[in-house]
Amino acid sequence: MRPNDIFSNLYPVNVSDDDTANMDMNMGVGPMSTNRGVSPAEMNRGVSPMQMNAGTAPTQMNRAVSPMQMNTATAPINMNSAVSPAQMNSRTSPMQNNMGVSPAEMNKAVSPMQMNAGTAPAQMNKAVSPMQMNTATAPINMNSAVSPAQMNSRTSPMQNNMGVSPAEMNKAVSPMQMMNMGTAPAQMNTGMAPTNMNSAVSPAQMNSRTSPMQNNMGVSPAEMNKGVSPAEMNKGVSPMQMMNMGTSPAQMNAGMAPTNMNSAVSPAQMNKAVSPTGMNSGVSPAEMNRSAFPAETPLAMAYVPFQKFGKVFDDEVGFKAGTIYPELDKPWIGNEVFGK
Amino acid sequence: MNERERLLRRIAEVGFAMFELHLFLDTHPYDRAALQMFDSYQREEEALRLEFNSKYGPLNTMDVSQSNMWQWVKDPWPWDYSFEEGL
Repeated sequence: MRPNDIFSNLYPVNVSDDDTANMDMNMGVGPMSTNRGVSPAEMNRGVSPMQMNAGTAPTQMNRAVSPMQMNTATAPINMNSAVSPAQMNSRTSPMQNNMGVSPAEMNKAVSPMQMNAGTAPAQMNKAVSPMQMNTATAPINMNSAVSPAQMNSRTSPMQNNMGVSPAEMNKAVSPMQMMNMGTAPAQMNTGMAPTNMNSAVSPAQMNSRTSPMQNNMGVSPAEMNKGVSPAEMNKGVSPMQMMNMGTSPAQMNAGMAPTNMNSAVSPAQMNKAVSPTGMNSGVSPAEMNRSAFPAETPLAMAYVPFQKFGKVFDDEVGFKAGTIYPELDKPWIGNEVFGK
Repeated sequence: MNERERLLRRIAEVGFAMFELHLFLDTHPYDRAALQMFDSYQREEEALRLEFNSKYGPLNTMDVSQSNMWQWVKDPWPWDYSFEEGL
């Protein structure tokens, strides 16, 4: 294989045949290269939803592709609309995220507010006429909040939306709703997909201990969103808080692992729940009640117990022992055990 | 072990204890007991180092004091000591 063969899979530059459309669009290429040689027809023919959306900025897409063409494919990105890169990356694949949610539920679920997050109306209208939008451009709008980097990172949008057909996706969202105009709060709330729940989550929250999958596991979208107003949704609330607001305790506990509870909790808050073992007078509240191990220790993960300050060796003894902490003084006794 | 070696040894011991506390404090930055212990060791180390510097010359270039001679190159160097003299 020539070096060029390798790169031809990565960069559109060297691609010359029918794959051109696919490649261009997949690889985070700017609008110029995307649109330059590719006719709308070509775009539609071979591009899966995933490919079309991966690295291309929404507005740029609009310029070259007619709404009808876009419609056939780009839906999947919808679900990702407001998710930050970190969120996408963190340990959990979007597919897991949505697991268990039927396509129908998903469609119902996407709230207009969230879809538009990050997209300026001006941009939307620039390339597409209102009529066109009605028929087709939904996907683009939704994508607009997702940067190419976000899409590319580890997880393919395809996985994310697995099981949801583009057609179904589009059916659910009316152009009006997407524009945020004239949408009643009631409509917006009717059943948000799990992904939406995550959309307001900061990267840090996502990364910390809880995977989105755990978050949503077993909780139906309907249960999750019952009673949460759009305003509350947009506030930037952590998933846990969001669930608390509108969900009854029974529903919350339904299928969720205890770990979930930790996801949005700061270390300080966590300590409140932990038994106050090993209280040291001069220790901060955060450290005081901290247990040696996390509440949950999943398999295949390693932990170092959190050390507590106690008695220490005299510095002369510590110097010889190689540590001033008696609990860490573990001299080699192999010779005694096994003989010389 | 002569006085110089004893001083060096004390500095090493105290310095090691400080480093151990340093490591602990990296993960327990608010642990007051450890902070206090570090503080007292720090003062002890400083006193020891000053004593050593005044008696036997600088331990590192930071300790080189104003003088009409670059004290750092003053003999003896570590390899100038005999095995019996230690350190």
